[in-house]
Amino acid sequence: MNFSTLTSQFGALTFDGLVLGAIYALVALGYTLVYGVLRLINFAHSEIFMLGTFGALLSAHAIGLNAESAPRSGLALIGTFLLVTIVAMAISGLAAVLLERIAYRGLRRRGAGRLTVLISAIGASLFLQEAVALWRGRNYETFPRFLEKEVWFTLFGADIRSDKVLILVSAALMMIALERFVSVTRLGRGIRAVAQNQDTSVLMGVNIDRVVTLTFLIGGLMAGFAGSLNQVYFEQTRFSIGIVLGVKAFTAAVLGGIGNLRGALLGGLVLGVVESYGAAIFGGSWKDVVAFVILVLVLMFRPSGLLGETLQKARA
Amino acid sequence: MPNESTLLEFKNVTMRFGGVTALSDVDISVGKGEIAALIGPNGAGKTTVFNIVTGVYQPTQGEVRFKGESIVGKKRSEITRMGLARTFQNIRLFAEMTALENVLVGADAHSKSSVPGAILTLPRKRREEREAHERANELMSFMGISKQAHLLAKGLPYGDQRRLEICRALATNPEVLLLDEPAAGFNPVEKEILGEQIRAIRDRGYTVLLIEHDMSLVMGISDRVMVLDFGTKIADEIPSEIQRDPRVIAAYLGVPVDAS
Repeated sequence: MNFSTLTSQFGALTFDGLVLGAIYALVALGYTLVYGVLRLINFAHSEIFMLGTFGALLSAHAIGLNAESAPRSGLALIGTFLLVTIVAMAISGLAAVLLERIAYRGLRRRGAGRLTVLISAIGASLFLQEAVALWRGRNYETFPRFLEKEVWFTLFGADIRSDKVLILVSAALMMIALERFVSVTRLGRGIRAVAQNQDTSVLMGVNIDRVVTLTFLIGGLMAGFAGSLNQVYFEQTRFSIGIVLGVKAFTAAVLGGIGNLRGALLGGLVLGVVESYGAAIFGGSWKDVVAFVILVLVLMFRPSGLLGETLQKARA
Repeated sequence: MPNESTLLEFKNVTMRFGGVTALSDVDISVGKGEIAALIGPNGAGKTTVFNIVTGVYQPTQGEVRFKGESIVGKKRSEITRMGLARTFQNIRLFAEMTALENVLVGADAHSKSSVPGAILTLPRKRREEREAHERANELMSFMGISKQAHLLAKGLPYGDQRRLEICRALATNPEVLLLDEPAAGFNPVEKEILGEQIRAIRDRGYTVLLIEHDMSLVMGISDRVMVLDFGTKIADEIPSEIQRDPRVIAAYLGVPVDAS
């Protein structure tokens, strides 16, 4: 154990933890939304994220980015980022909607038990991983860098670097947009009504299938967004990239209180930061262990999470 | 009785749950613009009728028609959008939403914009949202709960929760409003106000089918009273006749005194 790294690099560790936590939080939102509406843990959500990273990769290739291409700046940079991200979101959103149609809807209509749906989720997850492995191979593919990673300034020992700022700022904007959507719009109201009482919502004319589709779509869009940010940050992907990240995002959702949107955000950030501190104390290779120890501890001592299970309570 | 003004009609409806027959060969009709009441002792099958109308149960036998169209097997949300809405005996509000939001969920039933449409066509969405708010506010002031609009539903006084359920059902713009024991737990003054509100609802052009135990309320506002006993309809008359009907008296009071 080494606490001197933690104290000497506290600012840097916190900042990097927040960056990573923002990505966890975006993926965690998908777990939490689907759970809130259907009481289902969508274990294939990690693959929706993985498909998003490939959406970003392929769209980057399509516009001629490769290992040799120079970093972009100004409008070209913004345009590239937007394009790559929108493609990633579109692919993930579409995949999430199709996943629900193919792997879950039929079971739900027949009133299948939770365990049945869970098995279907695991099956869908393995299917997507192996399909991508067959298509793209099992090795990492490098994401071309289009954003110069320059340190703008140092704050409390943390290097404020362009890509990290991009991730934090854009993730924050995305989460504010989602929060507003769920709390003030008609569709968000439908989601909350179904989360609170599915039977009564139906009798008030709410179309459950539409709400479920929308929920998966939003979860997918967020996962795709996270996939794009993950590419910008780590610059590589392969078929299995969703596994560990997915379990961490799920941990974040449980940590914050699954079913609770703000909980997913808080859980993601807390997990990212704690993991970052853990890596400093125990060494980098213990990073993932820290995340899973947290999952076990939360399940043991506070199973309802930091903020409790309350998509129902999200409101304007 | 079924004619062109019949809105809701049960024909020979039987509902069995395993070995239990909840409704046996029941005929019910509700005509446009009337306040019809459905009464009967506990377990007579009244709420089963509501659950069949709203698609929660599928009848074992028989026909259920609304505006001449069979609603058996239709999706519950579809039935609501056709113009049937209900309240619940045990209050089922969206407890963690504000009173206003509860009513808006009802009003949203008729929103035209689809998922992509709602995201893309902003002007229409805004107009619909504004209209839904206006409608919700109007209904809440009609039921006398507009002061509570921004409180969480679970924080409302009991009586206002009942009134809010009626608002939410009316917001779906039903042709027939089904009220399941709306006066349960009300004091005499509240019952009287509710009676007047139900009449006012009818005067606005809604048709009302009412389940209620309070006889003074039922007899005071109903145009017609149907009596269920052990899943069978034993009477279907105007209130003054019902009060004299020996079968009804027997069902409610047990065996008449002179027969013992």
